[in-house]
Amino acid sequence: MKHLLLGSAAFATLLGASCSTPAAYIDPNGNQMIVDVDQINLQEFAMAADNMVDSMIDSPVFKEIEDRPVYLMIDKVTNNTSQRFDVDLLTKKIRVKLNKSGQVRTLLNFGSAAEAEAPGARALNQEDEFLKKKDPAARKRPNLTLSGKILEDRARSGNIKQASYIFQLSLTTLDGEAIWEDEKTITKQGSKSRVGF
Amino acid sequence: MKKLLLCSLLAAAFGSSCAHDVNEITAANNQARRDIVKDKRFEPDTTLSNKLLCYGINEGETDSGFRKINLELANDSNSTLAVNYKCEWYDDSGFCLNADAQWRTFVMSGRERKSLTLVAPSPKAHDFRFKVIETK
Repeated sequence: MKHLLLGSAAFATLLGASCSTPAAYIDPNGNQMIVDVDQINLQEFAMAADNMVDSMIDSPVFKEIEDRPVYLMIDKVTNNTSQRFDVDLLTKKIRVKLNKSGQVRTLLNFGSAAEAEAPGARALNQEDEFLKKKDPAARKRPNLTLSGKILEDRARSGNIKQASYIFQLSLTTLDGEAIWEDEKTITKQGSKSRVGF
Repeated sequence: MKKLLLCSLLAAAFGSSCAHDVNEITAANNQARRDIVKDKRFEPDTTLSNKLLCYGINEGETDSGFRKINLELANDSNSTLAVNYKCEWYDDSGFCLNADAQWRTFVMSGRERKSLTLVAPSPKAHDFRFKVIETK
């Protein structure tokens, strides 16, 4: 009886050790990331951002604006999904790519981004305007604003779950004219999460 | 009788899981003028290169002067093919401009042909390297 118990315990330990996966670094841009139907995964924000930037650059939108450089203000991007995440996971990636492309510079002294990202710059700007009597109208103004929504749609058939995440973005001029709009849908189907895609 | 039932069940199961191929109709004389790029290939995954055919890379420029390429791809198998792809762009000194490019997924039905357009991340982009791997 003792031998049987000892044997079973040793076997269970061995089995446990062989089944567990030790932590390791993986490439966040690689295809080893976990794919989970129940939530938007990091790589999907990157996929959506890459697609959106490709679409913006492929459109004549930046060529149409005569004033150079083009200043972009990040307006409201609403998360209308059932999950809680920071929309900067999408917008920051888009901003970085546009900035690297040399097409756009982001203005952080306007809009909701200013309070969160560049409060110091905004305060200094206001101080200059007050002390040096700088005309607030002379402040750099954005040519374009980026706004959008992230939506979610879910369906189920037996054990199979399906989740679609819809990324909608618009570039709008200060006159309110949407000069570029696009929508990217990412759909996942499955019954459980998996490693790699 | 039991064998007959089993056979018909198997046939039904096979029939329902069988993927459909894609039929297509195009104009006999294409109007588009294509600037076809001569390509060089390194294909260690022969299983994938037998299934996924690239029968032309067309290049052009966006209005803002960014290089773009259009790959004409075909799924040469009868089943749905899902691949991950990314395109690395290099400047004229050979430096990679987007080493952090994310793998994206591309799905094709059986015998389907699809175009894939990729835009350079910067007007400095000169050369490209298109990478493709079958999904897990």
